[in-house]
Amino acid sequence: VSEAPESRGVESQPHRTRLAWRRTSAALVTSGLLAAAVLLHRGGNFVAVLAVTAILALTYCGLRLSSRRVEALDQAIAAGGPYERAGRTPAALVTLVAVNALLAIVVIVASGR
Amino acid sequence: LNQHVFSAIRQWFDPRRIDEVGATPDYRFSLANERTFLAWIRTGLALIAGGLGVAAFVPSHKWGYVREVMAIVLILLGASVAIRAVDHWARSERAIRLGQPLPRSRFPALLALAVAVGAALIVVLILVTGQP
Repeated sequence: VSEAPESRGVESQPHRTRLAWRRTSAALVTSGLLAAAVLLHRGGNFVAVLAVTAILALTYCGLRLSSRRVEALDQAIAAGGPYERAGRTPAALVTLVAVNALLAIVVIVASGR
Repeated sequence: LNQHVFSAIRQWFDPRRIDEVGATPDYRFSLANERTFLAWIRTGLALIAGGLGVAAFVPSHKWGYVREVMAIVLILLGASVAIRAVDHWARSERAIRLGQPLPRSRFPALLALAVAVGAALIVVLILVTGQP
């Protein structure tokens, strides 16, 4: 055995964080696609179509945000550090999710029964 | 109260306010805090997706807007989980820099309770009306 499990865990931290961002991206895409599914299954007026379009646009912005953070982690991993803190990224992501949630309510209210 | 809320929101969006206190911690603590934040965001997104799934795929209820109410409650719960996630992330980051214990919260217990009560209500609804 060349190294202790503890030191392997230390090295895997940035990789685990990168994977966590990837999983979050997948969750973002799933909720964006479900908003489109609501529109497809229930139909809807112009407001519902507009809200779904906004949700999909915001989902794309979320993916770009996530991708930028993954790239920063990748560069730091390749260079052996230093690892930048997340900065404003968490606040930006949460704003996006909260706005998407409000738009999702608009889609449900504006779509047919 | 308004000042406290405004100060908390400023802390989310202005990382320099956190950087001004304490000492720079081991990067592993910051990354672990970031992963915990992301796990909460995914929980919020799962609740939002659940709400959208209810609206899209559950048949219309004979009691009127039960399906829509269920969907909107799930989505609002998901949004509140996401907002709480960034607040907890910022407070944890500050505590890590100051070498203080991590902030404790009743939120996980309240969320678990809300999900359990919601599930129980849905079971009762199915038993009483014979449809979800």
